[in-house]
Amino acid sequence: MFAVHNLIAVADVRASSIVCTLKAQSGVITSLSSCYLRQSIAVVAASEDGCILVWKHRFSSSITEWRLVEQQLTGLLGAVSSSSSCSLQSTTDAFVVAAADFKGSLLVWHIISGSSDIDEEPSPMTSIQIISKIKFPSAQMAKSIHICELPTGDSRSPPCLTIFIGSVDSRIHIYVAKDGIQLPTNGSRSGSTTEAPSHLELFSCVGILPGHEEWVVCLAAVAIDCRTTMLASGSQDAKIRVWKIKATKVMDAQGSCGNSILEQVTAFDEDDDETDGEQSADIPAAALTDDDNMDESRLQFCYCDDIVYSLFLESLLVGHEDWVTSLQWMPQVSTQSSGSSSSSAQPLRLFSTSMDRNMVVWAPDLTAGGIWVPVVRMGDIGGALGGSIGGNLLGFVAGSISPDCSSVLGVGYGGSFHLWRSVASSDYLDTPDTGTERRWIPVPFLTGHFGSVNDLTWSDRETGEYLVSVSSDQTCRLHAPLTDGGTWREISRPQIHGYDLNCVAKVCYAMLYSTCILSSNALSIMRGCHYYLS
Amino acid sequence: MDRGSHVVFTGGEEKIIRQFSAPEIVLTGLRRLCNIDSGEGQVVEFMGSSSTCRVQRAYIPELGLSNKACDAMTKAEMKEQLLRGVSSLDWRDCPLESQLSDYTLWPGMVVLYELRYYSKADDESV
Repeated sequence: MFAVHNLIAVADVRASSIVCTLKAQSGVITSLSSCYLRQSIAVVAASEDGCILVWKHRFSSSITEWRLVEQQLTGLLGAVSSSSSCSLQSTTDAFVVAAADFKGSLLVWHIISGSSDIDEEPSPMTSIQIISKIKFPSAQMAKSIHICELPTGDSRSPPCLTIFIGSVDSRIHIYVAKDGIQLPTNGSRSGSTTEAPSHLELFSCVGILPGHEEWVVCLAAVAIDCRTTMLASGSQDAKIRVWKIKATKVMDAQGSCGNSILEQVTAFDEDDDETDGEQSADIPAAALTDDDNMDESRLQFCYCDDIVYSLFLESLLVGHEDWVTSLQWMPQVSTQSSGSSSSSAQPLRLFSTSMDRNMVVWAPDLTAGGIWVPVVRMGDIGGALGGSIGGNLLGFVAGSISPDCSSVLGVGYGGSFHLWRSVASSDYLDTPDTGTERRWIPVPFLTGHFGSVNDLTWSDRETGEYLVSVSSDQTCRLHAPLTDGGTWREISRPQIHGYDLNCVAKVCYAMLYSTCILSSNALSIMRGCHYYLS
Repeated sequence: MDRGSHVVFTGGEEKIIRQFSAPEIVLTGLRRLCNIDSGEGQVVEFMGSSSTCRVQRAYIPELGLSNKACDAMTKAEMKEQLLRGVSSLDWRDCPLESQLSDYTLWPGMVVLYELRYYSKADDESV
């Protein structure tokens, strides 16, 4: 699923085709986030005009069946810079959405999706409430948001709802719903977005994590056990920081936990980072594997009077040479491979994309004391340097990894897709079988113009064997149907240009000498298309 | 009438119309993946261009916007392309993004200058 201008396209990766597009917004979609509910998935799409909509899809229905939740998430005024959503463990079918705009506001909505999972009514009972408003000065504009629940390590305490905000001031701001989230009570199912004034101060800032030297543009968190959460932050300084957040129960709550911010290590040791940064990029450095020592924690904060969260810098990942653009934790899945010696569960891994044309999978090297190292490095560097974006990968602006960890999809600057699939070495023709080792290989995926298509022509007027199109993305592309299946694919890219392309013509030679190709701008662009399609 | 010639003209914002003729490698792909007749043996000749046979493959020279046949590659350009490490096309599957831009370019044959207006889609005249 990806955003295309003001549409959301849902693509089937295995079939390499777009199965449906969802259209409801008028502005360009700037942020997509999703969260899993009990029987459905909710997708939150935020656009440049501040419009935030929720789409829902039931797992039991066809992939093309998506339903728009009628109510909008209103409140933001400017273009949405980032949004995040997470489902709440305490209640089923409820989730929270946090979104920030470029004007410095951050709003958090609490959404109960009602009985929409069961009935097929077109207007599901949905209540949407703004539960918190946070305002930043413009110098602290939020560039990335991640909202999640931190486990408490205690089954009686509800998990701690936390918002991590990566900011343009190069720091990560942490906001916590201090006393647990107070669910909006009954009577609020009016069908419109309502505000609950008493909850607007629900979240309070518990600390700021310095360390990055440029904008923090991506954040990802994952709970690894009942009391520990890992947070990864990627920045335009090309570094990734992995933070560990651990919950500990304080027996005598009154003694040390009066203030929410117990201690913030102010004398931050910047020197550690400088030395790491000077290392060669080929040798990934990971340092600062702090012991679980309270004294070395960067930040501590209290939750529900008796739980203290301690935050450590687990590791500094140096290996990218340009902006880190997206981060995702690999789900921990059981390895179903036949190799009996392989461990039962895949270790914790982190997937990152960067503008240096690389996608990297990081994992802690247990033989080297848990230092994080790149396990796989994928990239695609074809095309002439300095050419147009249609023929040149400038870097990855986003990426995603499939739930079963078998495929990785990177999105290049401009919009190209780069799909890599993990296969057993024996399946890969050029390498000998080396047992259970797996390799990542690039596989073809969706291609298409990145700009408006200005003209197209069939290969010849009788049979129309293939189609040649030109576009404002400065490329000319040839599309033809495959013999197996008949799906249309891009087979060739005849021209990669430095100017926008406006017209294309297939010419028969017998007539050429008596024909004038010169054209004027009085003709509409669509005219040529109609001529051949009608 | 023009079946098998595999020639297109494109016009862009630069107000120049360029003629491109499919290289052998693309015709191989069309034949193998799509079962499209490659029309081999057709002589391509237009306005004095001496392109009497198809080129194997084309590339974009470092300077200039016209795709050229790979035979004209300098050693430095050849080395630079090899260093990029794009695997060559075997047409077992559809080409990847990098292969599309490195292996499936069509060589430019003729350039038509002297347009006074922006060129827009105008197929009806040809």
